[in-house]
Amino acid sequence: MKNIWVGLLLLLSGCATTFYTLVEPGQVVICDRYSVKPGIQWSEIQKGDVRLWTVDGVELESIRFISGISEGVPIMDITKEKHETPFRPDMSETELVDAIVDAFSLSGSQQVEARNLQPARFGSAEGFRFELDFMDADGLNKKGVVVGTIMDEALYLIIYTGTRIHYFPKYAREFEDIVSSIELKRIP
Amino acid sequence: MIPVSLHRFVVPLFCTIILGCQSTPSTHGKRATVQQGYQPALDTDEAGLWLVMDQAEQDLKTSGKLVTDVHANEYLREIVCRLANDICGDVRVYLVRIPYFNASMAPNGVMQVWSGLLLRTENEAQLAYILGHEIAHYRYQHSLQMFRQAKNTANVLAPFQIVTAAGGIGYVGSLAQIGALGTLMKFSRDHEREADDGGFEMIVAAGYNPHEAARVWEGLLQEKDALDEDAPSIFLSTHPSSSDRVDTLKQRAIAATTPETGWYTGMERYNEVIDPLRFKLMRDELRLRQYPATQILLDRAASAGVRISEIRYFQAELYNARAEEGDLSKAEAAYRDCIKSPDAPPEAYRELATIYMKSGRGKQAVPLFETYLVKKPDAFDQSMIKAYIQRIGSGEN
Repeated sequence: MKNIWVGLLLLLSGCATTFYTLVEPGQVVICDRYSVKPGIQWSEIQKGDVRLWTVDGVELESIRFISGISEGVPIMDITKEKHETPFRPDMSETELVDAIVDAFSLSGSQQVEARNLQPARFGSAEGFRFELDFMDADGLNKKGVVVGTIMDEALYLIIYTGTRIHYFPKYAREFEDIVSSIELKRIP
Repeated sequence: MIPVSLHRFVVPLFCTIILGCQSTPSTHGKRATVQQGYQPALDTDEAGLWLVMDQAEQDLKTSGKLVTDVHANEYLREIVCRLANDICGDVRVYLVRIPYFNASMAPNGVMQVWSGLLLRTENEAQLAYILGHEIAHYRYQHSLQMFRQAKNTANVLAPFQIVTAAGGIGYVGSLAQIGALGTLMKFSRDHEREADDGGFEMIVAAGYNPHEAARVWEGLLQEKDALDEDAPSIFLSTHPSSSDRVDTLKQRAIAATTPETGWYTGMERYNEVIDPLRFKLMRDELRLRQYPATQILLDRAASAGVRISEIRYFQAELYNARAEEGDLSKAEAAYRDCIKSPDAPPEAYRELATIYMKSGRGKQAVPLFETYLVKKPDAFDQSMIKAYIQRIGSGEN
């Protein structure tokens, strides 16, 4: 009887459960190229090469770390759509913005507008940042900030999004601190 | 498991089925038709269906996907009233920003026109033919009949399964909203024939050039062939087309009696209304990365009176996005052609400059970047472009 319950439990968890792990404040290695230092506890789920951090729930706010996208791979890979733009190492920043805006639109977000694209540091590397305004598929107003760089012909993005009211501003300072804390690893 | 969004629609649908009553639609001649101000009796299954549709319409009214351009919305309304005459007041038109060819009518009078349709009709007569076709589906209560048929065959989800056959689901968004409004209803051949006849009669009565009707289907079939897919658009999935249909429409157009004042095609008026939207619509089209279909649109646009600078710009954008061998030099040539026109989009200067910058021709890039900054002072990427100019000046590019 006990085995049946265990089996049922496993079956149910296999269907629907997402496993979160706790990220403690302090140095966190994001990928083989860089680390960051969050100032608070975050909950993390990992989907392939993408790491997703949230405090109150991914629908309310999240930081998405997308690391090491190589040539030919869809830039965001957030939808099952065949239309997503594949990454090319020679893409300009404006082309990358277009591709990211397209990916958001394809995933169901509405009225996606990019604002204020500018050069920005990504640790000690040159990078870019821009802001996003959009509505999610359910019509909830959201804001976002995207920070990125291309290193060794691979793309690295950190995307912070949240509801325009309350949740985006709630962790905006923490996000900026995380971006400021990026430390690139030396490649031998 | 039913997704939450679909659940919202399916539950009331099943409740409606349990009620299981039949309404008696009014009749006109041999066809059952909807009369002005028609409302189903409250104790019918049709009333239940209307209730669901009304709820979905409330969602649609606040959707971020609605195109709010006043002129385009008034224009659609004007054409619908010219065609629908007495039932004009019962039809509510919503222009939705989804880059596929589609128009639909729900049984409660909600008409959806998807923005991709406006890139694929070339003049008012073509647009009127599609709208007339949909009004005919409404007038003859085809979606109600399909709903009852599905109910009787215990296959109530069949109308929704069609969505899985067509691309772009992410773009379409909420299945509840779209499904509930009848967009995905696949009509029978008889219904299609009846809607073709009804739509055709409406455009002829309104004085629209009936020779344009077949051209719409020809364009869709061209795209279908180019993409080599069974169902490249939701509209073709729900409205099966064939060369027979095109031939029938052509023969009917030849047989129609030309009015004394001649037929009205309305290309100029159409372009006047659609031009301000076209840049965004073309950008949405390119996002689909269906380049063979987009190429057909661009080829057809030239003969449809679309601004040549815009056609050249999007031709260049197509090459740039497709990025196959030789495309970069084709893009460069097309951008160069584009900026010869005084009304070239500012983005053409930026894109050409970017090609120069990437290929080590920084000095050629700088004046183009500067022109872009002047032509688009509120551009979202002003800071980045200024940084490019600075980098080139310091010899980094």
